[in-house]
Amino acid sequence: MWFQKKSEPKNLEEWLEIATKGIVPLEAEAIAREIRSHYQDELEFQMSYGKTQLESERIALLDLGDSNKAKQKFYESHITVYELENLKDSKADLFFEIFCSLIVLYSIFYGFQWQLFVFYKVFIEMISKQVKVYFLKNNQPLRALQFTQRINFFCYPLAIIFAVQGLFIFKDFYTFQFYFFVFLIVVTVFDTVVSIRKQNEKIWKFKRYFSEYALRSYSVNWKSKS
Amino acid sequence: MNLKGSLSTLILQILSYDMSHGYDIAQRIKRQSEGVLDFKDGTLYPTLHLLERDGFLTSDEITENGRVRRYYKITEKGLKELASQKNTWQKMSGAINTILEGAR
Repeated sequence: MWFQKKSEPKNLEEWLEIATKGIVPLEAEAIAREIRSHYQDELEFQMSYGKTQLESERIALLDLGDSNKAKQKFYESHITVYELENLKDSKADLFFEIFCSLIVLYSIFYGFQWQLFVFYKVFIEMISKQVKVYFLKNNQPLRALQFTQRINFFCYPLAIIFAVQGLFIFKDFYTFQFYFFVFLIVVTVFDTVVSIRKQNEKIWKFKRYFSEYALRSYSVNWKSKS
Repeated sequence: MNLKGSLSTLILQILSYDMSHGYDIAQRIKRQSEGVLDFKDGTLYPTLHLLERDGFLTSDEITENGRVRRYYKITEKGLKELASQKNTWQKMSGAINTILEGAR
């Protein structure tokens, strides 16, 4: 039945399978190595006190605790398969935010056509984010990724057109448009800083993953896939 | 006794003496607290990995008697964090003690 209680792991391998489910293979293996070593130590400790192999295994497994809780905790510090699949998307988002900020900084010095900027910010970026969230909520990560990539292809040239326009349009300062434009700049910079901070955690995981494991062999597979 | 929230402080304290591996850290906490502080070993490793993620620890895999172990070492940032967590803990336990001793 659907509300049936999840079965408890019967041995170490089952415990590890649950605790590392969804984590990329090489990181899952590293976790398994560490916990297997711990389990062996505990087994030897229990047997040195005269317990049987079976009894020692039971105690060592009980000492590991809830495998599902451990899995949730491991997700915070280890890269998951889902995150790895979306790595390219995350990088594209980050670079796009940085690129937009550079354009904003550039336009501070050369003036800007604010109506187009509003159009760009509101209709393109914000709505595209909402559509992406909609796809993710409906468990369609691939469609979300494809959509973001297409929007980015559209937005990059658009942003360049704005920047070029900034070269030719030099507005008067101390006008409503000027202050509104300053407000938009602040919002964009804030948006960028928040995005970068949110992604810091992910980036740490990716860095660790690629520096520790991917350099050996897995990166070759990943690169060929991308 | 449940160690929720304070496990990271205990880990940092143990590692402030010397580098160590997960099993040794767990045993030292149990031994030094004379068995009062007990926790499920499965929660120790995610906590260690989170401390590493936050830059409080560094780790290396070392093969010892044919067994692969991951040794953890506290960083400068980790020592500062330990001092801060100890300070918070002392303030909190002092306040709780005051209430439990019936001060009005």
